[in-house]
Amino acid sequence: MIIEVDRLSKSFGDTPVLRDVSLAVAPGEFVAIVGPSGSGKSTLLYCMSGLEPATSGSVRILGTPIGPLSRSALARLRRDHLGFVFQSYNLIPSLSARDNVALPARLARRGISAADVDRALAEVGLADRAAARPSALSGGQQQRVAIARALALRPDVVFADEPTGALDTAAGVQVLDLLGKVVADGRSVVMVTHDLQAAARADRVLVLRDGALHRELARPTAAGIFAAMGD
Amino acid sequence: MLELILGDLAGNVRVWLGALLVAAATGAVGAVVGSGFQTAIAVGGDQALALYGLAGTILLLTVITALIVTGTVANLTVALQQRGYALWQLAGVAPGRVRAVVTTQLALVAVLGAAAGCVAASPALGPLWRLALSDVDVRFDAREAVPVIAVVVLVVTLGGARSAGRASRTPPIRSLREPELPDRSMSAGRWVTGLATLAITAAIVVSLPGRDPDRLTAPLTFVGPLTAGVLAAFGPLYLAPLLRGWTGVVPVTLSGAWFLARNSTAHHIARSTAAISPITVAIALAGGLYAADATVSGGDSPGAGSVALLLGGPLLLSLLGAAATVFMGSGRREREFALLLAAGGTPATVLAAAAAEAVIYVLTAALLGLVAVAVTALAGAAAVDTAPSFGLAAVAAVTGASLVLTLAATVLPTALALRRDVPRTLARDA
Repeated sequence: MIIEVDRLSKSFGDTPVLRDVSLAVAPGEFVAIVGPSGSGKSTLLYCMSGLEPATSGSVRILGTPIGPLSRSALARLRRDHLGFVFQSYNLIPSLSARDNVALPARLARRGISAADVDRALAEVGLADRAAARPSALSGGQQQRVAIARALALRPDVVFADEPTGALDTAAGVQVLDLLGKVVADGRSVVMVTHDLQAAARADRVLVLRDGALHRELARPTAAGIFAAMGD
Repeated sequence: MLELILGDLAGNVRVWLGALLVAAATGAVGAVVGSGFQTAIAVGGDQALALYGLAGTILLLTVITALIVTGTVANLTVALQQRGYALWQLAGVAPGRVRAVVTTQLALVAVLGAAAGCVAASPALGPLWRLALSDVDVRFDAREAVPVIAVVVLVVTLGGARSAGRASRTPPIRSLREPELPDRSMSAGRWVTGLATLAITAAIVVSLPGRDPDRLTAPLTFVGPLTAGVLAAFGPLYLAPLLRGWTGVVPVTLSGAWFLARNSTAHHIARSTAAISPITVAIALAGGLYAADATVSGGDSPGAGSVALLLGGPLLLSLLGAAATVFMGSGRREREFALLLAAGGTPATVLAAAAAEAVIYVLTAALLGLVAVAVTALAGAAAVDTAPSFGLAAVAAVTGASLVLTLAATVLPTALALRRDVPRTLARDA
């Protein structure tokens, strides 16, 4: 398994947000996490990716328990194996699209050629916008640059937090198509979304309610997810 | 309206605190000048003549420094809050009213800061003046503080006028898309100020040959800060290319931190200008004074007491202004830091990038400051037909002090920001 979560709980002060969540993500799997607002979807994603420490329980990424890792070791693990796409504000404003895509490689001191960066941008349909800064790109274009960045180093897992939340329907479909290509390449995607149509494109959908795993659905329809959320 | 003004002040405490601090420093330095004139009027005689001369010199140095430092800080104060002002417009506040509110906020902070500066400076005025005139009975009361506060308010509101106008004119959507708009254009005001300062500097330099060498140091001392003023005024024409140019000396493959700092300082040019200009002035003030004195007198250095009296205030204002502007802008950086961490940057990389920004600010300012010092030394050397002396020890001392202050103002807030959770930082409103 790429990700293994065992009895994960998370509280903010006295308020429990996640309760005893256990799950696993297989290589090449597209997992969507859905649930009502405040159900703990994003917190689960951040705990799974090591951006948020768990209160109890454990998370393993590629077999490595992340709880005991130092901040620097966690940063290296993220850099080497994980990619991120957030809902908005994904890009460093002072860097061009090309430099944003090359950033993780640069931080990792790994060589990435200009051709590789241009290819990553071409894959998301933005080869002609490589020199543009984020402020000159639309929300959908920024999201596609973020995906190109997440993919440039070929991470094992891409974590996406509401990647279509700030986009119109057409731009949202483009982004989901790109995430689908990631999975086709044998890598995994974990996506938090409130969009049931988007979630229905996943191999597996986890329904969260009040911080606990409420239902788990394999290749469901949007209607099936809706019904499961209302159970 | 009052709720809007006060609510915004409370919501952007870091930015306004920086502006308040610089207004206070300007008020404190103004108090030194004001007390000099008030004391001169009260005591009369030879002491008055000496006081008028010293206070006049400090006044000129302070005015040059305040116009550059305080004006730049006021400009940055508004530029950093462009997004908030865009939201006001979207909520229905008319553009004219946005401008009025911004100007009122600046004036309010200037009054409070200048008054606090006058009060804080009062106990130090006597000892400071007695560095030059041992038995002088220094006077400074509320009556004399009023014009000081008025001048600070004028400098602050004029300094922020361009940004206030832009806050009201810029389409809100553009401001929301790019919260800190780049300020790369030369306004008519900048052209006029720059050309006028250049003309004054040229007039002083041209008037130097043939003067009595004993009376050469005083006008020559103004050449450095005035040149710094010219450089600051024409900054939008050359600062971004200069930054990109010299920082390109370090290969981008060598250090990710340097690469990030290089791009950030060239992109956020309003923020960079605000940090670089005060340090340039500080270097030009100290380096210029020593270069003028050493060139004209053939190597003698001015006494520590007279340096403290003449340059203490303007130097304090410059260095405080540099540290305050860096601190003011640091709040806007937290999202970038969070993104860097999510992209695989280690905390050490983020701290190194912040430190590299401080180094870039200070070294760029040192380059510009050296130009001002060189103009001073060469003008003095040409006037007395001797070899120039560049006051490099003073330049090095001020550059070092600036580096320590700027490093502290960048690295400490960055270290604090790194303690915050990445998810919450990214989820927060920009």
